[in-house]
Amino acid sequence: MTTEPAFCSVRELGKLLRSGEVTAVGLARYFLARLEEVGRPLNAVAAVTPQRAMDEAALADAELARGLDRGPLHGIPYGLKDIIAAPGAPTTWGAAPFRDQVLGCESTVGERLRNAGAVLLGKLATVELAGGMGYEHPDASLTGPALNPWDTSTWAGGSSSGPAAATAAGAVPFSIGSDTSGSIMMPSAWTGITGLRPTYGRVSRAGAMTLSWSVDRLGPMCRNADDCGLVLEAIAGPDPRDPSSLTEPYRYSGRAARRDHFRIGVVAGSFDGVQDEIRANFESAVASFAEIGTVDEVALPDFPYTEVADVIVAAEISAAFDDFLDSGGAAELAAGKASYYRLAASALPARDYIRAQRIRRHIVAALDELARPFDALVAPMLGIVATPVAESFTGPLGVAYPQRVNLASVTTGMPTVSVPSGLGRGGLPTAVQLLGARLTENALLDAACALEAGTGWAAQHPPAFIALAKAGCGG
Amino acid sequence: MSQMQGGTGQASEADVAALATALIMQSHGAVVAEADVNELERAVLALVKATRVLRRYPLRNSDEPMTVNGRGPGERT
Repeated sequence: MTTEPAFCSVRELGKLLRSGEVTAVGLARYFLARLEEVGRPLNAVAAVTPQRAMDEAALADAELARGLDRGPLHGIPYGLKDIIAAPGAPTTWGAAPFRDQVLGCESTVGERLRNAGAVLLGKLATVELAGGMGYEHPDASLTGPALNPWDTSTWAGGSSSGPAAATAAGAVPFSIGSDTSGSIMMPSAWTGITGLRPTYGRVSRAGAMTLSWSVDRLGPMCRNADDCGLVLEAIAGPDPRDPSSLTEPYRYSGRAARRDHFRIGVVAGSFDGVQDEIRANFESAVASFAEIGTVDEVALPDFPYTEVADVIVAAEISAAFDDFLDSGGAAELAAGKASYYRLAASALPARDYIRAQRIRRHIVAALDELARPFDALVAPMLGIVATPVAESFTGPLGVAYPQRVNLASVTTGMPTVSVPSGLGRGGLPTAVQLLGARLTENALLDAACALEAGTGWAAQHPPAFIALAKAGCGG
Repeated sequence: MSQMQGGTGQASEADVAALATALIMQSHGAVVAEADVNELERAVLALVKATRVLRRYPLRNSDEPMTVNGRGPGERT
């Protein structure tokens, strides 16, 4: 192939396929090699599925040859976070107690991506149990700490570490991650990719490990917002296998459906205490929005976001893993002591869990009213750039998050996009989060596409990995 | 079970956490190393503090909880 595909977007790869410059089999071989040569050294790979990849790619080529085109994802390779099942492949949930687990079922996202013609390359690394038991160090994963392609002495973030690192390094064109309290958003921000946490219920979780029934979401982690829209359209929709899935259908409105007249709300106080470079990049992003729309300051209503999220998530995780906790299985985890946070919830009164859910209803109503007049509410995604991989942290990365904005999305199920905003300390990526009212992914993605076009940051990739691609690594 | 509330909420958070930890140890003592009881108690205390904050938030009798699908009974379309 004459075009280097490592950092091509889904649309660009689709053009190469349809022009005949590449084949789906060629792309699958190329990215399987990239996963081995680039992804594994980053600790981003849990398992590859070469036979399935070649079978699906051969089918994609044969279908295109006879005129059957399944759409934008036809023949495009991807990876699944290793909490999502795929037949024939191990699904370890990133945790030593489950290292030999093989689940026979196909996840709904895997099934839908297969129906869209996409090609599964393998499973990508996760923090053990998607971080649900708590963890205080990046190495709390069966595959070790996922390294950040922008600087391999720093962490890729978690818990969707592998999807973020592999996507950022050009080892997969896109990936599917999961998010309970920031696990798509945070690693996307730290590795300079675009991650979408869709509206709660948009994407079926069938086949994925459960942490917190009323909070868990699956979503795309991609090169840009346009790719997120293309992938979301393929995986969204009602599913009898997941009672939480919404009945509303989703169709992506398409890249650059809108270019201007955006209504943006800047969340007051959201950049207090963030690193100077992150604040400067955020202000540049806001200035970019000001050129294509209106920008107003908004205040998040005063709610106990942290406590509501903590109680709901603690109670639900404790319930989802009650047998595991009761059996002492958590002792085998790399972060075994952190699991006491979940054991503690075994003494949580039911009325407090219910109280949190009652307050949550007020939060949902208030945040919807706040967000509905806007295309997006914006804030810095994280307050700091990626931390050294050898560094421990305490608590749920409290220093890293502008917590209130992130937890507003966690508790309400509102959609959020993390969009690269530039480089900060040490040449590491920074990001802006765009938060929208429920079911407004198209407006959010329009705004994200416009921001990406204005800043150009989504087209930037880790220099060392661009050099590797140009040198033919994996070619 | 109301060990985290300490009755009417007048017990100190630390006392409630100590009591709740003792109860957890009765049921789960086999899976908690003796040396780690303090870690467990810290985790319990964090949750006790969170529940105290939630208890200060005013609710009406009719305020209904969110359900797993994000909507209340009868609201599903």
